Amino acid sequence: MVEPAVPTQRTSLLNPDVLSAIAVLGGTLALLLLVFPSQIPVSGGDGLEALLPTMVCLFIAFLSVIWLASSIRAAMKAGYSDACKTGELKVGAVDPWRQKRLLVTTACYAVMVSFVGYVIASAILITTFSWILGERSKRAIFVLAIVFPLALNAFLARVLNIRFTDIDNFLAGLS
Amino acid sequence: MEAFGLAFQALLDIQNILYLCIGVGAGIVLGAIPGLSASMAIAIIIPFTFVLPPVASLIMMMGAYKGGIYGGSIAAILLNAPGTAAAVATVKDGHALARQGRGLKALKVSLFASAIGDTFSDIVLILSAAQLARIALEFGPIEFTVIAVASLTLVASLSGKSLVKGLIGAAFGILVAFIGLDPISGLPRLTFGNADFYGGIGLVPMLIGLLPMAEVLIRLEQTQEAKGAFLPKPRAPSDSKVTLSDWQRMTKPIAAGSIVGTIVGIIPGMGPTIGAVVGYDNAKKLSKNREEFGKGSVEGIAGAESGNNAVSGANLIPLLGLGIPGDSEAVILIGAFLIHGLTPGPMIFRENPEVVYGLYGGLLAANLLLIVFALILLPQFVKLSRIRTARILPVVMILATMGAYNYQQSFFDVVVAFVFCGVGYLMHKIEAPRATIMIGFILAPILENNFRRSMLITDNDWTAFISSPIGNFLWLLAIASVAYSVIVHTRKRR
Amino acid sequence: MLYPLRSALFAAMTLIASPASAEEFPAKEVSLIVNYGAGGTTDTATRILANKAEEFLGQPIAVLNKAGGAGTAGPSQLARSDPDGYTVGVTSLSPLTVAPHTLDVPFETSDFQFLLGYFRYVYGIGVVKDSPFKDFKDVVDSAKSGNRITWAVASTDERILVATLNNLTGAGFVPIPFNSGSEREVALLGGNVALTFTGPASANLRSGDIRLIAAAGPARWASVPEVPTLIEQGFDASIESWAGLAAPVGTPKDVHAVLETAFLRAASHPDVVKQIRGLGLDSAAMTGTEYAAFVDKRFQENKRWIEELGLAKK
Repeated sequence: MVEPAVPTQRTSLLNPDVLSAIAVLGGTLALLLLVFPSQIPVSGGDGLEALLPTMVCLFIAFLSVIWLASSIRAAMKAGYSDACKTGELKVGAVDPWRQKRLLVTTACYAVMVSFVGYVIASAILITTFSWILGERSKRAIFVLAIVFPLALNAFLARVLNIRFTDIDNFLAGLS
Repeated sequence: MEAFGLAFQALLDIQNILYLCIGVGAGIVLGAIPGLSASMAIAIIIPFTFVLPPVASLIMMMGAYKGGIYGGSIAAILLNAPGTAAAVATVKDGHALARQGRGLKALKVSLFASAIGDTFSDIVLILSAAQLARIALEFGPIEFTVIAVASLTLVASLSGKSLVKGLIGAAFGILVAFIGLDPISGLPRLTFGNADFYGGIGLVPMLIGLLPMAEVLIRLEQTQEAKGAFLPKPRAPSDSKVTLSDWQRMTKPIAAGSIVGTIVGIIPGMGPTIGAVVGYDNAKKLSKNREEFGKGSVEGIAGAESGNNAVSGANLIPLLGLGIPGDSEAVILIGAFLIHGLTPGPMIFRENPEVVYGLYGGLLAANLLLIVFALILLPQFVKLSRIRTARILPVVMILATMGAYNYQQSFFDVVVAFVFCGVGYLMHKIEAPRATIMIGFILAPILENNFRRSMLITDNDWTAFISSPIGNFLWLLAIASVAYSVIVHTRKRR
Repeated sequence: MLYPLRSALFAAMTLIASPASAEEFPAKEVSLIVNYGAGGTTDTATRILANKAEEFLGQPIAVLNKAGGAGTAGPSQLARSDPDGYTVGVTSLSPLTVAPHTLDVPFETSDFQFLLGYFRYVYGIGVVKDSPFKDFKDVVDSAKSGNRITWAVASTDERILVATLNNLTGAGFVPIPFNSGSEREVALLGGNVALTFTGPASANLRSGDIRLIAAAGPARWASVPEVPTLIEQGFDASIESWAGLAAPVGTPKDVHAVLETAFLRAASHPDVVKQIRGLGLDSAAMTGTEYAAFVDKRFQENKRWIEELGLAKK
């Protein structure tokens, strides 16, 4: 089922694939045992509210066992990788410095949007992203970070006459 | 045949053409911006329907809808981020071609396939709407359950190399779809007491987070990306054109996609995304170059695009023939009819045939306009993709956030989008396909609702699922399809 | 260094945000929240009303759709809005009197000041045109003689009616829930259910493919006056569901009065009446106080029924 990639060194047994499979398995069991009983009511309708969710969960658990088994087997055989990349889009190497900062910035953005509002948060996001990525042209940053979100809002709110119930709040951050 | 004559007469009214142009243009542009979508284009147009005459407002809406579906493909191809769920099957192959400098080719293939598929279903609509609509009636809860189960087999073709991960993705999508109110009893499931969850997770915010937003992070963290242009230049003139050999390879997928998409569209409730996936799947099965699928297959794009646009025309068949909407956009269309005192349904052919013919004319013209506008706009879009990655992708991120909010003017959807951004990012890290989540999510309500209704109607008789002629035919199709895939797969390994 | 930038930003934002003056109500546009999706019956009818009410109000009315949670997302939003008269919303009967018993909704009836009721949904019971049932008694007889009669429903109100009838007659109808009116009809026409609820807007009813055997509301249908109501046929059951508008509680009396008058005038305007009737609804108007009383009454009635149906929230 898996075509051999160019042989590399033996991959560790606790590689991301194995760990994810375990996580998924654990997750589905947690759902079944902890979440479903309280969150899925069984009622006077037809009483089948929990049927399909349970079946799907069991199916995922079953699949994750297969996944776990095949990824452990792959890790034990030198040179194989379950995540076979032959022919897929060449994924470039990841720059960890950049990665950390991008993720942190995005997480902050997600939170900030509700506190300082869309316009300010977006401006900060674009400025930060641009800096992380090495963009230094002040003019470019200004245009993208400030002019663009404001123009977008003006366009949507005024020209197209779309009114958003919360848009003023959304923009100003008072959700 | 006189139908066509009357249809074109209606088009001679300049006003109609003007509004159609606005609709198509707006649809393309809005659909191409990740975060905005075809539905939004239509929702924007609604206030105008009060003041416009019926034909003009209807064809403007249809133009926006068609333009929007194609626009979603533009975003999918250039940005790896579908603007609409219907472009989910085009994303992989389309963007792969774009990364090879062949973006314009992919865009044009998509354009022609969309237009042809759409025209085909429009012609079918014009010739036989009333009769075909009756076919939709043959599909009851039992048949829909079978369709949903059979459609799950389509997951295989979008799973890429790992079927297991693709299936897990689809199952996860199904699970997410359970959040909300139970379809039969109306009681809340998996809502944790929070009223925001009652409506369920929205398809659009989920899509926005999973694909465009995650894509931004995925692309930006790669070392070589940021300074260079977002997409490479074409290397040969044929990279920007649809060559004769491309056309030869496209004929089968487009034919199959158009037919299948039309059938999917006649059945109310399926939607263009399913049409796209079925079109893609068929193209793969009919193709001699199956290894190309997933890496930039022109046939795959042709199949997916003709499939999804064919659905949009065919959706009008149950709408006009029975008054029953095929999907949520069609519901808005019904509103437009009602505002003008028209009732879509069997009577409309007798009571207001001029509106119907005007609509027909508009549909056909929309396809032509789509080609014209797209050919004008595409080079501009491609120019945009030459902008530096570092400048374009952060903007995509904030547009996506705005788009998630715009869906229902709800901040909750923004949270959903960010959550799925995280999910999408993680899925990419473990090399799991993200498209299959969408399929599971879309099919889940069809499957569950109809399964439980079937149980209620037949008093828990499980044999019902093999007692319906249409249902049995579909089972056979599904089994044959799976068997075919397995045979081809094992033959390849020898 | 940041201050000029920030104040420039804020200045830009105030240019974009609308200024709110409070001299004479209404001094700027009013928002109207519709709790169902664009293009649906409630939305279309409300837009018709709003279009006309703009003339009497003197300011534009911006209709916003806030669908979700079975029609409760709109009222939730409304309850949280400022009671300054610039936000009103649709408070139809279903999210106010049905949903609170099955879901945890973040509002109470007391969070609203009702402005008016402006149309009544019209219900009827339909069968396929060559069905052997000629009136509702035929159906009851058939059910009691052992046939399993399936009945397509699309809302809890309809479920309650079926339960009421089951209670009255012992017929044992089996309600099959669907998500929308058109799905019900497809099921009926496809032969999957024996009965369905239907409304005057139904294209298939007008074309004759579906036949009405009883009007399910308090009065006969204007478009099909020869079909008697359930009550007239001897079954003491009916559905009455309305759509109404409300403002958040705490809205000043004079502001409330201005809104109420404007909308009531619009609702009784002949153009509006005609267009709403064209949608298959019954254009009728109730004042705010009448609507409030009606809401309370239905709230209590539904509570009992929902508990009996086993659908009450835990």
